[in-house]
This record gives sequence, C-alpha cells and structure tokens, in this order.
Amino acid sequence: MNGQVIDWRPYLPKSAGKEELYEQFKQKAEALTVKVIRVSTKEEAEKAIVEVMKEFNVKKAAAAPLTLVNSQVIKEEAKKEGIDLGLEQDKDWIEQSDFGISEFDIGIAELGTVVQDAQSIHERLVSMLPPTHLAIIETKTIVDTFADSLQIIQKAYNGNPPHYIAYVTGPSKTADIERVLTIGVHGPSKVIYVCIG
Amino acid sequence: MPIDYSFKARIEAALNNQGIRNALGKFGKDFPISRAKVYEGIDFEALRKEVAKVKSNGAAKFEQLADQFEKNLTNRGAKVHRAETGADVYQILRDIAKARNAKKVVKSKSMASEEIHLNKHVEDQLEMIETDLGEWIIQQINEKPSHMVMPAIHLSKEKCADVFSDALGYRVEVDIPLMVKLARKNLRQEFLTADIGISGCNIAVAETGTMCIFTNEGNARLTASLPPVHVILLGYEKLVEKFEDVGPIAKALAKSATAQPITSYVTMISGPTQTLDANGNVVDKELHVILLDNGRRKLLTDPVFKEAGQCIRCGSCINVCPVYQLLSGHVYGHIYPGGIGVILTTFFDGFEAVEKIQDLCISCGRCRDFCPGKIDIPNLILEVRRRVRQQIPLPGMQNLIVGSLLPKKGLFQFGLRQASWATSMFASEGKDGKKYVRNLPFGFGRLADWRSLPAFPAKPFRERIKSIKQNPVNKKGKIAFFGGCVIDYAYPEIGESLVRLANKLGVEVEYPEQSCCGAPAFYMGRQDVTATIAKQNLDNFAKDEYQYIVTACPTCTEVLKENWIHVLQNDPAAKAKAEKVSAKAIDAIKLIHNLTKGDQAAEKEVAALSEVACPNKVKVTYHDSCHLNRSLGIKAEPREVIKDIKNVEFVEMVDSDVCCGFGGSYSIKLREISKVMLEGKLKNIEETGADIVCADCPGCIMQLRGGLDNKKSNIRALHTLELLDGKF
Ligand code: SF4
Ligand code: SF4
Repeated sequence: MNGQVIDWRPYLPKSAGKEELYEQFKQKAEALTVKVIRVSTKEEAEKAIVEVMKEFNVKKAAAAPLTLVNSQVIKEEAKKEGIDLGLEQDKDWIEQSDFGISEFDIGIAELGTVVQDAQSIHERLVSMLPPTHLAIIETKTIVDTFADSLQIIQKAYNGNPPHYIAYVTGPSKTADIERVLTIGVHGPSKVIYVCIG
Repeated sequence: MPIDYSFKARIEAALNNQGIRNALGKFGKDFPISRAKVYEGIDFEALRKEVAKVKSNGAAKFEQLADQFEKNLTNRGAKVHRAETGADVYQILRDIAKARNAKKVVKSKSMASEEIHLNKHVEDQLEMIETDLGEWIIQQINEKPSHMVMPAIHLSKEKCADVFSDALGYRVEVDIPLMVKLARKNLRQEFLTADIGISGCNIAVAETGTMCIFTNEGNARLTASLPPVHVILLGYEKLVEKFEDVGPIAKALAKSATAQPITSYVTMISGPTQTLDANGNVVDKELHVILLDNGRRKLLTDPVFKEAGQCIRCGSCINVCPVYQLLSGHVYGHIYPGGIGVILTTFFDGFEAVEKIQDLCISCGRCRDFCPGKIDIPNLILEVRRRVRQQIPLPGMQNLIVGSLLPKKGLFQFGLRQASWATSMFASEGKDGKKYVRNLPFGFGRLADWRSLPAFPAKPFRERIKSIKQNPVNKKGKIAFFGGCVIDYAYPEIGESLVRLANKLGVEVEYPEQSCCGAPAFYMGRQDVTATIAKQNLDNFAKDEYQYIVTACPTCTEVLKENWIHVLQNDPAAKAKAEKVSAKAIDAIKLIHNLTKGDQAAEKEVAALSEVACPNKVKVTYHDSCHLNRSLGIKAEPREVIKDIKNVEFVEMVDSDVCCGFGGSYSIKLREISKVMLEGKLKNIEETGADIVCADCPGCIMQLRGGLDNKKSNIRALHTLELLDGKF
C-alpha cells in the first residue's frame, strides 16, 4: 500500500479559507443537521471538544491520532468530566464508544463536506462506528468546490492518490422506507465539525 | 416465488395496486420540485454536457481504459478479474472465498450483482447479506428491487414492519426510526464478523485506478473497511479516463438521484488498505476488482447504443416517467426499470426480454429533459423497437396494417374514408356539438368505453380546401400545409381555422397531394415503412415556391423536421429533398407567433378576430403536447399567443407538460395505461376551473375531447388554432 502521509495544505488554491467560504460551509453543513463550532486556537478547540462531549452525555469516546490539537490534554480534561477517551487503535473500544474524534484534511464550502486521507483503519473506524462523530478541520483549508478537492488530491499525490479517501457530508441517512428521511443507519447519526482558525 | 403473470396481467395488477400508485404518484410529484431546488443556481445544460463528454469519452475508449485501470490497480496490489458473464462472476467469487475458507459476505448495493442474480447462484457456498436497508428488506421477502436508487419504494411502512418482525422473531412496531435503528444494530454484528465485503462502484478512473462509491447509509464504508477481503464488482461502463472526470459526475449524481447536493459519503478506493483481525492486529486487506461485461461490450461498441454508456444510473429518468409512475418497476420484470431499463435489459438479457416492455414507452420525452447524461432515451427505445421488430415481427394484423396498408396511399386513404360512414352509424352529438362514437359493437367496445372517439366527417380536409375561397390580406407569401391524418380525416375544421388565420396574416395556403407522415410506422418500429411514405410526399413538398411547410400536428412537424432525413440516410437523392423540407417545416403555432409578435398590425388582426367570437370572458388552460414542448422546444409561444386574446383569462394547470396518454397506437395497444394517464390529466385540467383547455396537437385533442365527453364534462378541448379562430 501507498501508506505515506502527505500534507495537503501546500496544494490549497489561493482562495481557500476565505471568510465567505467558511460561511457557506457552515450554512451547508447546518442544513444537514451538522453542528459547526468555530474556535481560534488549539486550546480553544480542546476545550470545545470536551464541552461537546459533556453536552452529548458521552461516557466512552475514541480518537484517531490528532495533530491540530493535543489529544492527551483532551483525554485528561475529559477524564475530569467522567469521560473515558481511548486513543488506541482498538476495534472493540471504538465500536463501544458513543463518540469518535478525527481530523480531516480539507473542507468543501459548496457542499459542507469534509475530506480526509483515510488509509489508516484507525481513522476510518473512529468516524464510522460510533453514533456521533466529531471532525476537526482548519478553517483555512476550506475550498470552494468538489472539483477543487480533486485538484488538490491530484497535486498532493502527484497523480497517485492514496488507497482510501473519505468524503463525509453530514450524518448517515436513509430514505428507503416510504422515502422518509431517517438519520443514522450504518454510520453516525450526529456529526460535529470543529473549525480551527 | 412471484407468480408468472402475463404482461397484461402484470399491468392490470400494478394499476389496481393503489398503494404503489399513491407512493409513486406522490414521489413523481415531489421529485421534480426538490430536484429543481437542489439544482438552483447550477447551469444544468452545461453540467450535463460535461457529464456526457466524460462519459462518452469513457465509453469510446473503454477497452483501452480497462487495460490502464487494471494495470494501475495491479501495480498497487489489487487483483483485477475480467468476467464475461454472470457465471464467471460466480466462479471468481467462489474461488476467492474458497482460498480463505470464507463463509459470510456482507454486500453493499450493487446493481450489477442484482443483474446477474449473484446471491442466488452462490448461496450454497456463501451466506449473502444485503446491508443497504432497502435491499435488506426486499432480500427478506425474496423480491427484486423495483427502482435503481430506492429498491423498496413499492413497500409500505406497514409491510416493512412485517418484514422486520419476521426476520427478528418478534413484533416490530410500524415506526420508521425504530426500524432503522434495529437494522443498524443487527447488521453491525454482521459487518464485524463477515469474511468478505462486496460492493459496487459508481465511477472507475483509469488513470489512477480509483473507484468512487457514493452512499448515504454508510454501509459501503463498512463493507470496504471491516472484512479482510473487499470485492468490487463493476461494469465497463463505469470507466472514465481522468481523475478530474469524477467532478461533473459527482456534481450531478446525487442531485439527479435523490435531490441531494451530494451523498453523505463518497469513498475513493485506489488500492488495498488494512484492517484489524479478530485479535486486533493490523492486517493487509485483499482487494479484488471484477470487471463485468454481460452485454456491455456490445452496448458500448454499438454505433447507436453507445450513447447509453453516458448513463450514471441516477434513476431520474425513471422518477419522471409517467408510465413508470403508474406501474412501478416490477411490471418491467427485470432489474433495471423504466426507459433506460429497457435499453440496458436489451443488452444484458437480450431482445426477447424486452419484446413486450419496450412498448411501454409512450415516447413523451420527459425523461430526456431530466437525464444528466444527456441521453435521448426515447429515441434509443425506438431503436430497440426497430431491432425487436426485425427479429420478432409485429403480431399479424398490426403488421399487415403497418406494412401493407399504410404505405399504399390509395388503399390507406380509402380505409380512412370508409371510417367516416362506419363511425357515422354509431355517432351522436356531444356537449360541445361535435360528433362522438361512444360505444362500438362486437369486440371493439373497450376502445371507446373510456374515451369517446371522434366520428369522422364525410368530407376530409383534402376535399374541403378545394371549396375554401382564399383571400389573403396584403399577400406576403405562400405556404404548404401538411395536414396529417388526424386533421385531414377526423378534424378538418382545424385545417380550416389554419387557412383563415393564415389568410388574415397575408399568407396563402396550399394543400399539396399528400399521405400520412409515417409517424405511426416509425413509432411501431417500422422505419422502413416510414421511408416509403416519406418518398411519396417529398416531391410535392420540396418546392421552392413554399416559404414554409406548415403542420398543425407536432408529431408530423417532428417527422418532417427530423425523421424523414433519418430514415432516408442511405438514399442521398431523397435525403437531399428531405433536408429541404426539414429546413422549411414549422409548427403552425410557432409560425403564428413569429408572424404576429412584433408585427402589431398582424397581432391586432388575430386579436380582433377572436374578440368578435369571444365577447364574454373565458378561462383557458394549456396542455403541453410532448412533441411540441420537448422535441420542438415550443412552450412559451402558444401561451403568449393565447394570453393576447381579449377576454381570455389564462391559468396554468399542474404538470401541464406531462403526457395525456394518447401516443397514437399506444392508446389502443396499452389502453389500460393510456386511460389512467388521461384520468390524471383531466383531473389537473378540472382543478384549474378552466372553461377551455387548449393544445396544439390533434392527437392530444382527440384524447382530451374523448375523455371529457366520456365524463360529460362542460370543459371543451380546442386546438389553439380553433381558439384563435374564435371557433368556440
Ligand atoms: S419517453 Fe416518456 S414514456 Fe418513454 S421512458 Fe421516457 S418518460 Fe417514460
Ligand atoms: S439514463 Fe440518464 S436519467 Fe436515466 S439513470 Fe441514466 S443518467 Fe440517470
């Protein structure tokens, strides 16, 4: 497998992160019932994440490796609130968690989507298995369109994309019974985006 | 097991299934509205051009792209298999499973696997578990999907609760969120313990070996991530050349499928990844990709049908099809329903499989307007029909009429004339003063018991025109009128109105010697007969003296504009004449619009004329005839002309552009369907409270008048020319 971890940020278009892109991103995501939280610093993000877990009455949580925030800090702060945050790549733990935390490489304004190199099974399990998922992105990585995201991937990996890329746009849903939109089938029923910067 | 109904019995059963009719009818009404909303601010025409471009490029080079795709994936450690038929897929899957002693398979939605009935053929070796909610439900009751995107749309929530109860062994309440929760809980265990995951894919990129999977439920992600083996089954038509080609397809797919901006998940897989085994250790996954032919090679290399390779399987053509809305997928009897289904089934299952269902298309063209792949679906269905008829001739009597009577001018006209005295024996006057036939003796009763038929007047238009004194005001020119059979023999008064209006506008009308335009044969799959008929007409119309060749029947207009050229492709001399005719052919309402708009004097003439005949206020609504609206693109013109008439209050009806169900011989062959389509149309007309419904197609007029007379309605159906001429 291709395996290498590549930073997408050097390949962002110039317009990425513009205020109106964030506004659009937020509006599109909220229309899909996503909770969007904006913070300016790493510390604020850590705090906000613990707050959200409290608000959602989380007992057990799981996080994939994080770089934009300090997962140890979150783990300790969470503990004080009686929340057990697991940082290990442990399928059973993740499956039993009520909350998953992971980072995404970019956001897409026109859709309210977050995108991630998801080659690591840890990244995928955390965003798929628990009923609530929190995705962290940097506001400056929000691009305009889906087509922009394709270009970034092509450039970042030089035409040799990673073996698994995940685009996530809001909660898991179905309309298979009488076309009634119902959230939370096989994936999370609640999604939260934390935007840093 | 489903009972083997005959085709007609299946239609009857579907039409009588009020539950499905309501569900699909509601969906049919909601879908275009929500779809329009999600496409707001997006140039759909430009987008579908792009989609068509990347998909047709993929279709044109599919062999080369398949090789490139295979090479890229192989280099990355995936195993690519080629399957010519379903049987090959069964074997490949059996071998993959055997090599690791795999037993349990979780499947996320794959139409290709449905198409080859995969589950049924490997069940003895493997436990196949559908994980898409709709697919899981129908798997429990051993049914086939009735829609490409919403496989269980034909089932009510009560029925679904029964299915859940049976599967889980306890009573499950009729509560959709609860059922969804139960599905999550039960299927999660299956995901965690499955040996193999199978999914389909929506787009396959040759240059990177990337497969894109679009889902809302998230089952494809679990299918791809949890089991140690992932098998992706895809058809050759999924291939596109470049990574960037994903862009336009992704932009259109969910919007056209379910009126969502994008699906909740888009997963791009370009090679094998890792998973965790039962002990929590990280292990490399196996990735198998099966490229399925099963008729696709033939489709993609066919000079006409390669266009169907532009399909992105959004299902919107099905959602908007007025026939599908009445029948649901199961009448089509195969995995892919609706218009595109007929085309795909032809190649996946053969001509025999579509002999009957291809007739279901009434050629209204509504699907074509919605298709993000820019596929001319009705036209491809006609081509299916043509080829079906080469292999399986029309039943005896129909073939005799189309093949022998239609092309013999004299005999055909003789026959229509006889209809005059034959129908006159059974005719009586309707509320609008016209003569109708309401019941026919012998076995013909069912032709008229739901829709009165017009009594043919004694003198056809071809006779009447001889005695009309033409006196064009400030003569500007001369046009040739192509009457068409319905106006000539059933409604000559529409022709007379045209002459009067044209004269008012300074134009003289000639009625050259002519026969049928050939549309009936064309739509029954006998393009050869249309060619013969075209040639009978060409010399009389391809004359320089005519400024325009005018029709008052949009089906004729379309035939003159396009189909004659098409059927005469191999006869250069005749084709040249057909092109000449095509360039001058115009529908009457368009001509009147052209002549009156911007010409105030002429506008006044027309208005004055109808004012005299219309001293009191009338409420008028308008029905868009399929061929006028879609094939000829004429939608605004008749409305503008009608609104200009003094004393007319114009009101729009709901779904004005949905077919009335006439469709020529369709209303005889599939009268059950035609009847229900007419009922829907009449309901929409009545709801406007209009006194008059106008249309510009004599076929629609025949259908609407017949239905209104049958209901003893006070509403009158008029050709727009008659309204303008004040004939009401
Ligand atoms: S042309 Fe009309 S009847 Fe035929 S498939 Fe399309 S929508 Fe259905
Ligand atoms: S034919 Fe067009 S509208 Fe129908 S499923 Fe294919 S892409 Fe969609």
